[in-house]
Formats: sequence, structure tokens, C-alpha cells
Amino acid sequence: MTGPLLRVQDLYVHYSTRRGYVRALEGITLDVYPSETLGIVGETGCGKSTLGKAILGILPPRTRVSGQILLAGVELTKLRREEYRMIRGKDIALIFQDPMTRLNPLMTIEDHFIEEIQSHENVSKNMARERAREALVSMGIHESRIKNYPHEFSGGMRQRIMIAMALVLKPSLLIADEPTTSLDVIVESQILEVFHDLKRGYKMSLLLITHNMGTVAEVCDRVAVLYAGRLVEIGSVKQVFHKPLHPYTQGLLASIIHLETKELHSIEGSPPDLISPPEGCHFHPRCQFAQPICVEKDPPLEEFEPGHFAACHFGDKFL
Amino acid sequence: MPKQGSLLAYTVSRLILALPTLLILLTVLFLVLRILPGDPVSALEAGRHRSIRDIAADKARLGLDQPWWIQYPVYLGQVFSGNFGVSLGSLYLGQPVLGVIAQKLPATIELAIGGMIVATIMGVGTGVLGGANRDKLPDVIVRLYGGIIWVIPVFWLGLMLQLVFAVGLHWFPPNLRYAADPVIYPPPTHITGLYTLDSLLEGSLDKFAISIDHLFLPSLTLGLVVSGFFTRTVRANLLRTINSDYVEAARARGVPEPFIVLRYAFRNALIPIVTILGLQFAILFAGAVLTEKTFSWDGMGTLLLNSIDSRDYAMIQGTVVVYAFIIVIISVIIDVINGLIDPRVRY
Repeated sequence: MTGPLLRVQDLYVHYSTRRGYVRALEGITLDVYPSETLGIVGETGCGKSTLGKAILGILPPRTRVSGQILLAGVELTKLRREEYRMIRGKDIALIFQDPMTRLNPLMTIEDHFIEEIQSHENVSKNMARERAREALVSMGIHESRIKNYPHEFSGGMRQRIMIAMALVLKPSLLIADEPTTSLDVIVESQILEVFHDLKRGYKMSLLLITHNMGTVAEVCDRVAVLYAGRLVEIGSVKQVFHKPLHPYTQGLLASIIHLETKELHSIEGSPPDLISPPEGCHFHPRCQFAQPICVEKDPPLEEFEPGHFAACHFGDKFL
Repeated sequence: MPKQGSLLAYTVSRLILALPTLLILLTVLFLVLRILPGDPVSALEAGRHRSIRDIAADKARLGLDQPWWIQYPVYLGQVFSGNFGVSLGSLYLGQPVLGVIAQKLPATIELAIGGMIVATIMGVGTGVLGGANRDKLPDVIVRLYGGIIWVIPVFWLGLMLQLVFAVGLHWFPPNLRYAADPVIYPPPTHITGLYTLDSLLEGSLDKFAISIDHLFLPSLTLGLVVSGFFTRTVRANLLRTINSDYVEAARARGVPEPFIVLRYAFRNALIPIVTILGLQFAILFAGAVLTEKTFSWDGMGTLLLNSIDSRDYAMIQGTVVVYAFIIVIISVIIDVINGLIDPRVRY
């Protein structure tokens, strides 16, 4: 295997709020390999979106960030402002959850594309326009609509426009932050189809942030599970789905509705307050297997089988 | 019919919609002026001991003996044909109301525009400074400015500026629209009535400088007082748009920060700002009354005050109707500017 395209090492992100620091990410370490799709799953507020924004360096001001983010060996956090800006959109692109509010209502679709292309490449307006047209058509939007404003498109169309914009500069890493959450199921399956095509067509790595285990099973190669700002399990989709080692992952997988039994499991309790998270393993208050050690000691991320890591004191018991 | 969604179609529809607004305003004015106790004739006759018959004759001459359903259409007809009658007050007795207003209106327009320019520069400047540096020192100063300046009474600020810049430093004349040697620099020929514009049309830079000199302090006074409100509006709207989803998305695409502030944050913040600024401009016309008094500025405000003093009902009605027209015209202009900025409102 070649080296990773993206390497996140010991990443801490603490948001500053009036009540104190919110520990959104606590020591995340993960790699994304070339042309691989890594799924990031977890509940709302577990730090999934923060991870995507941290990689792009667009966290709000006064946020405390530490750790390393390397893209193809380049340490992003050490870059100068302008150098980091040139990476955004060009090498790493981000697709957001809510396409309805992510476009400037006062600019046409064409303006958005031209602005983005010219922010990164020294090309003429006509060249940029031509590429914008191609990108739109490849996403199934008719080129006659290029001069339309965002409010003249439906949600699904806007998300396809956002994807076209993300792809127009051919980034090596695409981060998709819950790209289908705000769309209806038919549009959702269309968008997932687009991702399938992307994997085949472009040699692009995809970081797919989602809370939908079905999407992960369908699209991803590997999956990382986040809980309360920590990485609790990572491995190939096969490994994690067949042999979930962390009780939280087990709970997530059990929460998928079963067609035969129509039963729906849920994990008792709710995620902890990230301003003052619990001692030891963050999951212990909700864990049915919790032992005294889980309260005292924070479990490290351990490799239980090749490529399959989990942060649980009793991971080997679930093998 | 122009294409739906085009700026022209939008402007036409705004103009048509302005008519009912105007009609309502005129009706309210009609009612207010007639429901209020007293009427022009008794006000004029007060203390003059004339016979009841004479008074009745005067009322008949002015049509005031008629019931309101006769008076109302006559009033509307007069307003729309531009016939506001003649002045009843001592100052302009017998002169056509509209003629007097036409003399005074340019002075007020000049002052209002001057005040608007000052308010816009100060308000937008400080608002952007504060919004872009949230909670840092510039923002604290800007917030303080916005809060303090708009509770300062206009006449007090005017007096202070006169004291410092006219009486003390002699940088600007203390009052009047145009005070210069009538032989060397007579006032510019009346073309539009705006002294600044007329002197330029005449090709005289000296006269232009004199006009601007006189215009400066009153405009500054009026503009500064209004600017506090602009500051707060601009700052609040900029903060809202700078934290918006589309700004975050633009950052994620690597759009350079100056473009983000200008094309995303500022342009979007502008939509509510233009509306509020426009409405303030209308209020500015009314607010000019005190400024005009402070600076002996011979405009509509002074005219209105004098007419109230001399109970000149015809003149009061004429002045207020002209104000109503101005406000309606400004609101149409605001709508059109908003249509220019925001494609969504054109529908």
C-alpha cells in the first residue's frame, strides 16, 4: 500500500464559548489513502463536521486547534494563510449538508464557478465558463441554466451544483459532510449514485461524513466511528460491520431497523456534554458492559486485528 | 408587457403599487387637517372681531361650508392638478402655495442629500469597521459612537459645531445658504434651485465652493445624528451575513477573503440596509426642520414652522402633501435599488 493522502494525527479542536471550551475533537488520528472512501459516522454533535472543517482550516476564530494535518506530506496547519487558501477548493473540496443556504443568493451559478476557478487558476473568464458548463452538464444540470440564481433551483439540483463546484478543480480529496441528509430519499439515492460514479471515474479520495450506516455500507471502503469527540473504532467496512468491537458501534449497528422483526433498538441515554465530558471512557455512562476500569482509565486505540482498531478495554472479548 | 422578472417590469409594478399608498396618505392628511379643532377661517379671524356673516362668506369662498364628501374629491382634484390654493398667512399672503414651496424645496433637498451623504459615509464606514472587528477595540469604539451620537439632540450638536468650526475656527460660515458679496459673487442663476448644482451649471467653481461651505455644517449636523442608527444597522447586518452558511462555503472553496467580505457579506447585508437607509432618508426630510432652524436655512422646514405659527392652513396642507409625495417617491426608489441588488425580489 502506498502512503496515505491525508494523515490526521492527534487532532484536538476546542471551541471557545461563553460557558467554556467545548471539546469537539479529542486526539483524532486517522489516515485516508489515495482513491479510498472513508466513512465517518457518529451521532449529531460527535465532532464529525468539526473534523471536516478542521482539515480545511475554516474553523471559527478563537478555536483552539492542536495536532497535525498532513496532505500528501505537507503539514497544513503550518501553512501561511494564503497558501492554505490555495489548498481549499483546489486540493481539498468540501460539500456541505444543507445546499439550500450554501450559495450566495445574489450571484448566478456561473458567477460562483468563475469566481472559484479564478481564485485558484490564472485562466480567462471564457475558459472558466466553459469548464463550469462541462461540470454542470456532467452533474445532469442543463447548461442553459448556468445564468440562473440559486433560488431558481430545487434542493437536489443545488446539491448537484455544489458537487459540480467541488469537482471542477479536480481535488485529490473530497469531504462530503452529510451530503444527503437534507434531501429526500429519491434525490439521496441519485447523489449516492454520483459518488459511485466518482469513485470509478476520478481517482479521488472521499471522506464521507454521515450518520447513516446504510450509506456507509453502500459507498465506503473503510469506516471510522466517532463518539463524543473521540475515535472509538476504525477498520474496513467488512470488519466493522461483521465484528464491531466497541459497544457504541454495536449499538449503532443495532439501531438499524430490521425488515423482518420491525424492531428498532436504540442506545440508552444521550451523548455527554462536551464542555465537561465524563472521566475515563466517554461512553461508559451509556455502556451496558461498563466495568470499574472504564470509569478510571481512558482506553487507548488498539489494533485488535490487522487494520481494525478500537478504543475499548474489552475489545478482545468481542472479537 | 415586459418579461416577468425583468427590472423594468418590476419597476413598473412598484410604481403602480405606489399609487394606492399615495392615496391613503393623502386621505389621512385630509382627515387630520379637518378633524382637528379649529379651521383656517376662525384661526385667521381670531381677535379681529368681524361679523359672523363675513366669516361665513370667507368659509364659503374656501369651500369649507361644504360637507366632507364634497370637499374630499375637490381636495384630491386640486392635489393632482397641482393647485394648492393661495397662502392665508401674513408672510406670503395671497401667493400661490405651490410657488412658495417650489422656492423652498431645493434648499431642503440639498440639505437632506448632504446629510444623507455624511450619514452614509459615517454609518457604513463605522459599521463595517465594527462588524469586521467584532468585540475588538474598533468595534467597542464604534458601538459607543453608534449609541451616543443618536441620542444627541440635533440643535445642540448644531450649536456646538457652529461654536467650534464657525465662531471659533472660522472654517465655515455659521448659517444661511449663501452669504457672499452680492456684487462679486451673486447667488447662482436659478436653474434647479440647488445652489451647488446651479453654480456648477453656471461654470463657477467659486460659487460652488461658497455653496459647499455653507452646506457643510448643516449637513454634518443632520448626517451625524442619523449616522448612529446607520452604524448599528450596518454592523448588525454585516455580523449576520459574515456568519452565514454561504460565507463558510465560500471560504471552503478558497475564495480570497476580500471577495468574501465584499461580494458575500457586504452585498447581502446591503439589502436590509438600503431599505432602512431609504426610510431614514424620508425621515431625514422631516428631521431637517430643526437643523434648518439652527442654521437659518431657508427651506421647507422653516416654511412649515412659519406656516404653523401664522396658522396658514393652505400652506401647511401644501407642505405636508409635498412631503407625502417625496416619501412615496423615495420608497419607490428604494424598491428599485433593492431589485437591482437582489434578484429574488424582482418577482
